[in-house]
Amino acid sequence: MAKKQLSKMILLPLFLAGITLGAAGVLTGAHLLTAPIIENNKDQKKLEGYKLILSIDPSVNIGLTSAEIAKKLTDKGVSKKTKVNVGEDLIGVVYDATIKGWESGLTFQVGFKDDVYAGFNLISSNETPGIGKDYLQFVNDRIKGVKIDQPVLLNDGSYTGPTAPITGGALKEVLELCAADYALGDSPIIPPHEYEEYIGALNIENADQIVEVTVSESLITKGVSKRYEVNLDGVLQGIVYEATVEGWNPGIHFLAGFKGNTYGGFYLLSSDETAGIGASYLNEINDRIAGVPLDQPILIDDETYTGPTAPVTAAPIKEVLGLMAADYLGQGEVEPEPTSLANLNAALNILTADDYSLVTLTQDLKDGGVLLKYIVLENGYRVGVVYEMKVRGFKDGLHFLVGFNADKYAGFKLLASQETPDYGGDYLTNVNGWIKDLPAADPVLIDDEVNAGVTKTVTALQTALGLAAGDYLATMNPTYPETSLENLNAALNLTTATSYTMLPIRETLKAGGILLKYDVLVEGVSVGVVYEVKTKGFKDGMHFLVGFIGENYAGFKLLASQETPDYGGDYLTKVNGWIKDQPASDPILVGNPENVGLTRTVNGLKTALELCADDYLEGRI
Amino acid sequence: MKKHKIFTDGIFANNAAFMLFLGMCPMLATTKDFMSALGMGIAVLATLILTNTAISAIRKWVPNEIRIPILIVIIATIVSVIEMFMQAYMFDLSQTLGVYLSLIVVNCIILGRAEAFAMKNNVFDSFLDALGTGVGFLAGLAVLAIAREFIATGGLAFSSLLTGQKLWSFQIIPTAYTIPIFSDAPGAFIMFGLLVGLVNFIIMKAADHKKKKAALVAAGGQ
Repeated sequence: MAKKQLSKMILLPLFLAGITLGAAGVLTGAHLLTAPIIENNKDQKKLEGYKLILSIDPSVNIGLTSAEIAKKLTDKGVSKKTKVNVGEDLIGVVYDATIKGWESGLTFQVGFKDDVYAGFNLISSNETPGIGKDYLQFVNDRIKGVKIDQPVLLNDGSYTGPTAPITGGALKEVLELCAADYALGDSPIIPPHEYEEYIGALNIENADQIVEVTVSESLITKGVSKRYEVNLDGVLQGIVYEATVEGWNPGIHFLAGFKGNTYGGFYLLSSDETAGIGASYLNEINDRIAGVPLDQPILIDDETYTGPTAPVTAAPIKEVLGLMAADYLGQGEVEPEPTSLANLNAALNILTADDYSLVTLTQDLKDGGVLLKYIVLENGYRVGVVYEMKVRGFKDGLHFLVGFNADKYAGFKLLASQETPDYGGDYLTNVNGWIKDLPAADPVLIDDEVNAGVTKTVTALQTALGLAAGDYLATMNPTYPETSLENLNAALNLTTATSYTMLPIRETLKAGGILLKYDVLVEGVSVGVVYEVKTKGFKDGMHFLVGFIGENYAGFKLLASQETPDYGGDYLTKVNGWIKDQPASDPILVGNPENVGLTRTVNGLKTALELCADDYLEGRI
Repeated sequence: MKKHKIFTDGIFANNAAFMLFLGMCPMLATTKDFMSALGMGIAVLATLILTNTAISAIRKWVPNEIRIPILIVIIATIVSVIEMFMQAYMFDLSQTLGVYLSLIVVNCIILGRAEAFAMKNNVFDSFLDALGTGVGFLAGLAVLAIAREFIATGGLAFSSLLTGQKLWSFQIIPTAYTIPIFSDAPGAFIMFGLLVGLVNFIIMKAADHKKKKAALVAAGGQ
């Protein structure tokens, strides 16, 4: 009996252990099979969450960049901080967290965009259905759009939905921690409770939005870390720079404001300067510079200034304020050197250009980012027009050439850019192929699929190319209607010409008013060359044709003029008879008694005719 | 016992939801909407079938003294496996059911059928019993969920159990005339009570009808 009892005492636990081992084996197998799929489901849900939270169209490709998380966040269960980009545009920041609510394993995402909570996405939870689970369903609606410096999930009178104090409390703590972290480092918009300093730096009454914008590298090296636009009701009130310099001691941290054409003010954030000396000096700066025109010297310790002095403290501040002022006025730009012929050739997709001339820029072109405008030449003939431009794409410094020829884009040559390598950077490498040979009058870079994700780069390029194309068509490639065959015959004193072809014109001829050059044909054989010219006589608009056959002038045909009828007008009607069959190599209209009193008309005409004659003879050689 | 009776008993005479009042916790908690109830019902059905057949298969080797821990280990294992597969292939549904999926382990129906039936009958009968009981419970969940969702929202919504993607929905009652409390816990109790009352009313009527018919037959016989 005792033996049987002993046997049972050993066998029963062994049997139970065997069953448990079997169960463990089954569970292990199931876990191995399903764990990767479950993780994948969660990851997928998180990916969808990024788009959902930040209101990004599900079809749009997003870029995710992990950012470092502060320890106080990881201690509370935040596992990941992700910056979400569409192309190069930062859309927002999303935090992934797993915390303990009523139950452990409450996994969620919370996103931030500009200065507000963008949304909440529940990934998984073990909260009780009907209580915690119901509470979580309302979290997104409750926090979406709330300013990041405001408390969330308050169970005050305004909220009448389900409550779950333990789940809600845990969630609220982490959401607000994430918001504080976001406000510290990722939002370009300064939270309103920090406005006082910026308002102080401009000595203005109020502001309702302060946005951090890029500061140039040259300023960063001098201790200027940030630049802000201070707005009120959508109107820019001024620019504030933040800097840290070394005076008597390191760490003079301050804001300096600029508005209109004046220094806006100075706001000291912190310093270790000596009390009574440097510290006192710093306290005077705002009063001394606020309202001073930017072209005036500041902080001059002459006899008019009777306050505290601290030359060592003052020197770096004066230097940095001067740099800020220059940056504020946009004086940082240096007149660019013309680019190389190789680049100009590349911008026109040719290899033969051997010279160029520069064209004076209008203010509109300068404002639009055009640095230089080249007329590119080959043997004196124009082979294209190239605009050198520097604009801001996703980042500053998108520097390129765009070329035009005839009525078309001839090409694009990137000189430099700060665009993100795999996004805007890649895009730019394709622009030449995309725009080459497209009509200059048409919009370009309009492929929505290709443009997706690089909006800022594309928009900047479209604007810049449109500006260059518009200017090119208006000023560099005017189209002139070709004259009639009858007029061409008249210019050659012929009646037999049956057709013509157009000939290229040297750039120097264009400057002299030559519009078109015709090779006039009889039965397909060249019989003479006619130049169409519009130049200035006594008045603008002296428009005529001059023909050449063999070595001689062949004739002259007036098309239009503003010359005085009884004077220059009469003169022009006789030119054909005077010049016909005269050697093209000789001076023309010389010694004519009818020249008297018509100096301007004659000189204008003579210069144009001889220009045409020289070109004609050179062409024959 | 006849095979079909084993099956139909679980659905009608011994319906776990409305006759035996077993599994009340998930019954009330997961019937807020039809799709959740359907998911829960399928999970319970699968658990019942697997546990009943597994336990029936090993019943002859299970020592009587340790049968309860063994049954619980088997049930817990099977429920955990089902939960894992639901998280893998029905992620949204598993999230909706939440902790109630794990709590199937302690659902009285499972242990009750294992102890009362599977430990005493062959594998096929145990399978039929599990199928009948599971279908009966699923039907109970579905009826309660349809009634609650319809009155609380004015219509019904159907979505894919696998992806959670909405497939089709309709609304008959205008939102202004819906009674949202039926989607909350009090509404679950009220609706459950109403349905139990209705079921009992039908059973009583049927019994009366049967009695009268028997009396008539008896009177005719005299």
